[in-house]
Amino acid sequence: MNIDLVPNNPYKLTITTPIIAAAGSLGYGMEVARHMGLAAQPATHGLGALITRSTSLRQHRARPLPGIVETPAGLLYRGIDHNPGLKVIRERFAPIWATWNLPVIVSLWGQDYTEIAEAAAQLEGVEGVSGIEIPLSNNNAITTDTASRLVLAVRMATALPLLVKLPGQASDVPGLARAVVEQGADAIALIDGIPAVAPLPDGTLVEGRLCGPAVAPVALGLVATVSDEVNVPIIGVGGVRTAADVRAMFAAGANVVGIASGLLADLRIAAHILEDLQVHVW
Amino acid sequence: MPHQHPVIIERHEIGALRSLRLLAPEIAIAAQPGQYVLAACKPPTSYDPMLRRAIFVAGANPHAGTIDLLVQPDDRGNAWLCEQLVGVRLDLLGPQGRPFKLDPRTRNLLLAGTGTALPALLFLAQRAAAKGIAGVLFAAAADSAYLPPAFLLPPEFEYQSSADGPASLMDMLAVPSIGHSLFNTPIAWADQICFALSEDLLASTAAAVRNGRMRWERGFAFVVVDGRMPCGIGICQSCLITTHKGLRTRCKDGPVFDLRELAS
Repeated sequence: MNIDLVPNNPYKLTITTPIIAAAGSLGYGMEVARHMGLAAQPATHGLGALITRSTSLRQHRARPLPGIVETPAGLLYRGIDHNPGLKVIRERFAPIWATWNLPVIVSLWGQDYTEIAEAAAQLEGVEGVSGIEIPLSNNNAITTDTASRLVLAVRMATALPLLVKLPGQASDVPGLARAVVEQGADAIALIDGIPAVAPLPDGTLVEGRLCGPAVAPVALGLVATVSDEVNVPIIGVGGVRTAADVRAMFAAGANVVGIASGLLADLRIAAHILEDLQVHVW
Repeated sequence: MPHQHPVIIERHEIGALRSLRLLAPEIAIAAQPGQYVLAACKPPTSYDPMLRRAIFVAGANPHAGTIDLLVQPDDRGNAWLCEQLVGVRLDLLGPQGRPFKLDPRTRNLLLAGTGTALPALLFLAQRAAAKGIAGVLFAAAADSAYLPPAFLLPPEFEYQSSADGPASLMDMLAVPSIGHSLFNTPIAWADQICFALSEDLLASTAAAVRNGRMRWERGFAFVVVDGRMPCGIGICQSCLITTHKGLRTRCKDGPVFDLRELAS
């Protein structure tokens, strides 16, 4: 089964299963490549694509440093902007990605539109990079106006397949979806982690992004709403753990499903879900 | 780093700790002291987003195909693991992480630890004793119920423990016996030292080693650093530790480091 994730883009971004590793869920894939057989044929991991950790033009050390806090129904991620910079991506990781059995999409983060657009331009033509994803939350672009300007800047900088990830907490998510598609987004992913607060074991309250089953109903609702508004592929992300969750996302209008925190707990989750889905039906 | 589903064949309650012996031939062959397994600490059908727990291997017998875990029920994941009975199959990933390196010239091995990585020193003592190395283990905890029992150590190793809190480990290490010189301390006696510590004890430990030795070369003092490792395989970057080479993950780049790389 082949799915064209960017039918409106001259580049191809074909995935062979409808389940992808959402941004950062597998880091840059390097640590799990051998274990998951990312370079092996045939692929047995069940993933159609891998979206990397959000990466900036230059190396960035997060403050606070990255951390994950378990909550009763989800995971709170902190320091998600920690990354080695684009040079490492282009020179060290991309040549290895080019040998893998699934496309790798680079999630981009930056201080301003110019920086993000420059990063996008630097990835054009890099073998091993199959597309880019722009998470609006990370880039402080959660209004229609700011999101439009960001996506336009990136679109002008590169013809690479462009995925835009929408935040669940924006006041007008359907409006955001329309705006980014109008400016050239080839596909939409939603939702990103929702800003939240959780206690550490010592009682200290910390801020982060909530992911996992806790946000699944929110994601499902927004996927259903946005899928009626735009005519580009939708990647549904948020608390997916089972074949039933995937079916619900498809029923809501998603074309593809992204798994994030579920992969941290079990690297085999996509393969298991595919077995349960009896993927040949799709 | 394969997934395994070993069965619990023995389970013992030791104070607040639970000792689990698992039939896990592949892990038993591969595991080295300082490494850990990532255990799914929930029923297989659970939708709980709880992450795997990194459990340090406390012993391995490649001939019998068994490994030992010594688990402390200090959070809900480990508490679930402690409740599992003989016959239950666990979901493990591993072994994982960089192990201790014993210098072939070592004859006097000093082990000292506290916290959830302490079982790694029990495993190291077994492997060292098998090579004819003798030594001593100092263990500290806030409560005697969390101290490993002496019978888990090989006879070649002496055992001293303190229930006066993790920081009491420094007193055990650095204080000379009454009537002896400052250089008659355990640190001065040892050919090699392997610690199991939390990050907040690294600075005081490094200071104790620095005070106890005239020279301190690389390879003399290693430390397995405990603490949460959410993914346990290097993808989430949530267990970063500052080293002389910059930030490193405890799980992928450690959990065993040369103490000189961490000492400020």
